Amino acid sequence: MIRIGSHPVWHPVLETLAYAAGYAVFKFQRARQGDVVDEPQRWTVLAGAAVGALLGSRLLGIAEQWPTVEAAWHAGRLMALLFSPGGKTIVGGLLGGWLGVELVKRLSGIRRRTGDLFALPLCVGIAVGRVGCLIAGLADDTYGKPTSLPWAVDLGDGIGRHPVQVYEIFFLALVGIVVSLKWRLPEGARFRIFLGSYLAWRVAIDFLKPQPLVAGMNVIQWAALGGIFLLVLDWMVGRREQHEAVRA
Amino acid sequence: MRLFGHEFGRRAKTLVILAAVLLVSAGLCGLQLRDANSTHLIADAIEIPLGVVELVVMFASSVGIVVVSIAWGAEALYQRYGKAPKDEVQKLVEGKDDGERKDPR
Repeated sequence: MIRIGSHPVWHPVLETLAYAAGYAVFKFQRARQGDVVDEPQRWTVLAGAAVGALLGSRLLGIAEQWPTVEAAWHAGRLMALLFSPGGKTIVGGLLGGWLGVELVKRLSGIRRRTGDLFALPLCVGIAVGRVGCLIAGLADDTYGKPTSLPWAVDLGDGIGRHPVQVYEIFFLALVGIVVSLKWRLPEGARFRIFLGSYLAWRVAIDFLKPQPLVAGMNVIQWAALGGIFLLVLDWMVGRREQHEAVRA
Repeated sequence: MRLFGHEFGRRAKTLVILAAVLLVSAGLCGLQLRDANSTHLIADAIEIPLGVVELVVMFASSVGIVVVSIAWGAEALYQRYGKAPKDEVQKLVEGKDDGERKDPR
């Protein structure tokens, strides 16, 4: 068993580093590969992503802790709860950011697929953030279930647990390699590969997390499943539009 | 940036910066809070006063995001439905000039 302990003060530091690392990779990639949209349109997309991600991560974070929200509501402390730190989720951020981008693109008439440049930066950003989750230990609600495996980690309570954050870092490294390969893929495919595989990963890996369940899965797993459904729907609509364009 | 067919330059950048400030300040606020009391539950967190500076920044950036978003939408709607778009006015003016020039008298 590997002893790590819980060091919650490092989480915000690593979280901030994660945003910075993600943005640095995005800028590097954009400078090297170019962009399918021009600078002002890219900022439009970024604005949609940022605001959507903020709302999505917070809303799903609050939904995940519904009993706490109910208690705060009865105690007349709902506003205090909304402004309290924590309670943000990656899946909510990804889904909110994606929907935010689609909404802003529709309003501003951007028809190109703009997500490919986000795929690798998101892999890097989430991986850096997960280091913070691991070091934060029990103070962060992302730790794994107890296990007797030799690589189990002790987060300070003497119990060996699945290092689910480390599993996720390895998974993100793999996805990062896949989306960085120079394959000829349709526009937007890299982002969809990243999003689809990450959501599927979360449905699977969250079974190793001791979270409250609703009908057999936790709230994040249900949201991830909903995201996969939307992704499939979007892919089908895209294919139909492509066929119609070819026929016309 | 084009929204409803109109140019909006700095608003998107402002929104991105405000969102980043809100995310970072919320994280740093959490840092102070966890330092003061090593709890991880929001239920306990709301009982503890947050770091004042971070809270002010969080509040200001949240208000900023709402204000910029509303201003952005309102300006877009006004330009779309409230008055003739600039390029159309320009076309009308140019058309009038052309007409005047083509007038044989």
